[in-house]
Amino acid sequence: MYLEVANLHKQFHTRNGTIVALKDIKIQIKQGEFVCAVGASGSGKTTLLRLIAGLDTPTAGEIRVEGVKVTGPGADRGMVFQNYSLYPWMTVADNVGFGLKLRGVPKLKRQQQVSYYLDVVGLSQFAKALPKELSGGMQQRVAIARVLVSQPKILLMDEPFGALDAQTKEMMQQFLLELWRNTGTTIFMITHDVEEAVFVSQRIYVLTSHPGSIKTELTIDLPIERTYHIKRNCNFKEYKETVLELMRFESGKNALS
Amino acid sequence: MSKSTDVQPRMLPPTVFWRIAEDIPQRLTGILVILSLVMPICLWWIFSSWVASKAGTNSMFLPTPLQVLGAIQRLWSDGTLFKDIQFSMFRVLTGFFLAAVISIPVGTLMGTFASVRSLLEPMIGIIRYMPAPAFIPLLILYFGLDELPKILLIFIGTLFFNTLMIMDGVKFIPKELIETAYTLGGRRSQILLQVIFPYLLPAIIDACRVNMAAAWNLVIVAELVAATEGLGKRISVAQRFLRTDEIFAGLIVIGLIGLGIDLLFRLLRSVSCRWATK
Repeated sequence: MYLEVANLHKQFHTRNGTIVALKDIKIQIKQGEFVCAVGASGSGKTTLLRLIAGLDTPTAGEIRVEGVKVTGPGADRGMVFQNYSLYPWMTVADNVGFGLKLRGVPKLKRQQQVSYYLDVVGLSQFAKALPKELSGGMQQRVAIARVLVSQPKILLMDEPFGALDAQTKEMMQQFLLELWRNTGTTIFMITHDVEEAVFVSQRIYVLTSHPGSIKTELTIDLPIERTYHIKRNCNFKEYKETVLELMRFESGKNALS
Repeated sequence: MSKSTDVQPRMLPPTVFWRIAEDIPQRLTGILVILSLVMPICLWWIFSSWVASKAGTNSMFLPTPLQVLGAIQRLWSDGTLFKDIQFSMFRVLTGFFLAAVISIPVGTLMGTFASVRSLLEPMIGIIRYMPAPAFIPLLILYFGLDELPKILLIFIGTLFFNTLMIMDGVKFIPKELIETAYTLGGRRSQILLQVIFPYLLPAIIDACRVNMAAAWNLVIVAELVAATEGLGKRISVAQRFLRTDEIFAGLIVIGLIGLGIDLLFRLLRSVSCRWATK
């Protein structure tokens, strides 16, 4: 098992008492899979991702990557955030190469890798631009390239397209799928957009809210070669409706609590 | 439902001068800037000429702009003014440089690590409120009347403020920038040097700009007390001889140099931090 999350519990202590963010989470991801976790707000999705990334420590339970226990962040679990988090004082090329620079890769090799991945994400001509000169979609592509360059074992994505408009979002979803097919990276993405989850992933974990726990695990049995046309396919729509129905129930709980 | 034919809903009237948080036409800005410089000088001219006509041409109560200009020229032509400027600048730059060399790393460390902050902030917070001029007698007692006490005065007066201002600048770093570096494999020392410090640079330059102004004020105070040359010294000498034109001259030169330093800092900021839009 490439990524294994077992009996994960996370609670926060606040002034109003203890909040249980995650309860009894169990996730297994094989190498090369593209898996999504969907949940409404309050499902602790971001908390889950941060625990896997090592940016936070669990209250109970274990997370293992290739059998090694996770105790802190590292380059083996790359993360893409919702607001890109590009370094504003660095050019696109410097941003993309930053991970390599941190790990002491010599300049020439760095430049080669950076050029390659800038090409992969289609931003070669913007190598010398500053992040503020790019659109949202382009910045997110730089963020993705930045993570890929370090060749992480697993790519963690926190609602990466949440800040984009509908058209750019769709393009980016397709771009990500293609990237996944070409590089074979293991991807674990969280999102609240059900259509997005059904479109990109092979498996979906549906999370409950308050506290977050695994409600269901769904396998998406659609062809790997997908374009946005598949969104009109009957099976696609059925998957989408199933997940939406599960989520509606959870959101209803939110409204009443 | 009441008849509301007499009460019209109010619309915000358009304006040029009173726009809030918006740009005004560049021409207007230019006119206002020129006005802000020219008006006080004109008023000064008119008022001082009126005073001179009342009290006799050689009265030094309120010198006219021409008289002040004359004083500047006089002091410049025999080299005194230039020497004074050199000495004052030397003291400010040395004292400030020493303070910067310590306050920049310490402030950065204090902002980054809550542990370092807890260790140093209480003491710095107390010393910061001790007025620098109050140290003058002590400094003269320990270090004499030469350059050292004056430089130390500047040092003390700017070190603590600068440290705290820089420390405060760190809290604005978006946490994600730091976390991203962790997930790219960065170590804590690398984060400090390659993420926190570059992000902090505009705030550091701003803090230095503000504290340089304070340093400039302090050097004049130190020279008023004990010096053989310097702009502050020049003013206190002029004071003794009631040469108000030289006092004004000194003040204006000090003001202009201060402005020049301020503009240099702004230039430095815009050149080195193109990414940080003001």
